[in-house]
Amino acid sequence: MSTKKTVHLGLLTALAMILSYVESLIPVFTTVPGMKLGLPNLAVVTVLYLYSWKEALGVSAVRILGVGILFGNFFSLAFSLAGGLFSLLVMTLVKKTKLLNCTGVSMVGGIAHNAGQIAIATVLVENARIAYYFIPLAVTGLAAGILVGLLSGLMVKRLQKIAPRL
Amino acid sequence: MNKQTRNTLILALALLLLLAGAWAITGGGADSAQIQAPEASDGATAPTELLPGLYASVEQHGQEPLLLPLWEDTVILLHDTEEAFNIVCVQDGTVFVADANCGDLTCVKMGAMQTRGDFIACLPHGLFVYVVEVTA
Repeated sequence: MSTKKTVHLGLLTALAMILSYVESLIPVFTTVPGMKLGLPNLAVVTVLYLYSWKEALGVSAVRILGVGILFGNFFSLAFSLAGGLFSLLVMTLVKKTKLLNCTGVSMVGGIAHNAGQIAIATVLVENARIAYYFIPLAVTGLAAGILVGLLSGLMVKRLQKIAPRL
Repeated sequence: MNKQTRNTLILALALLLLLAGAWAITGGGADSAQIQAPEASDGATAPTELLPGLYASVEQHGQEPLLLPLWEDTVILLHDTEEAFNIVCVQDGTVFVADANCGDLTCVKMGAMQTRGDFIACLPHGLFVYVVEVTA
């Protein structure tokens, strides 16, 4: 890995961690469980487009572990990991089909994130009723995913000029 | 508009319609949060008979639910393990988690619930509380 690439990925990981923290400061998203803007996904989608799923996995994992250790606990860490990894897996597969643009990939990722977390929640409380919550959650995941996707699209466009594939 | 943008727009609309449809059909879970009260045998009133009305169904790790009538103020202390606890309160027709030691306290922050189908979840302690209606 070139030094340049290490620096780029480091910066984007730092950005993802800061965005996690910024997001946790918005009160409405702390009282409604699972409802998030998904700002850290901005960095993950950008890395997914600038590099590949491997680098995106690295950034996502380091972000989740870092934030989990700094601000969370074992439980929130495991929970984030489930949503984050499932979301990245789905985004990688959808991107490979080349059917959707960056906004679409991020939108699907947003919903997948919610789906992964609801699946874990169902297992934890051993009650399938909680799955009803997926519907309102997925609507917000969809909207947040679109927003993040649009922003990532702009970032990728600009970063591609100064950071050609390394 | 290129093909990818068009596909994305179509998918976004399709997903929204699908979710709206799912919401309309299930009522967000409210429709199924209903229990038929068992009929009293031979006109005798069993001590455990469920009166019609709203209840808080308190379940931990999928065990048999504990039904708390929302018209009777109650406080119960639940233990998941020896250290892990949640305090569930019923007050003025609402149910809420007053305190817990689950770390993130999402269950406490979720606040009071009073409408059929509403729920409170404490994932670290496997606790699930939802408002259920018992019909005659």
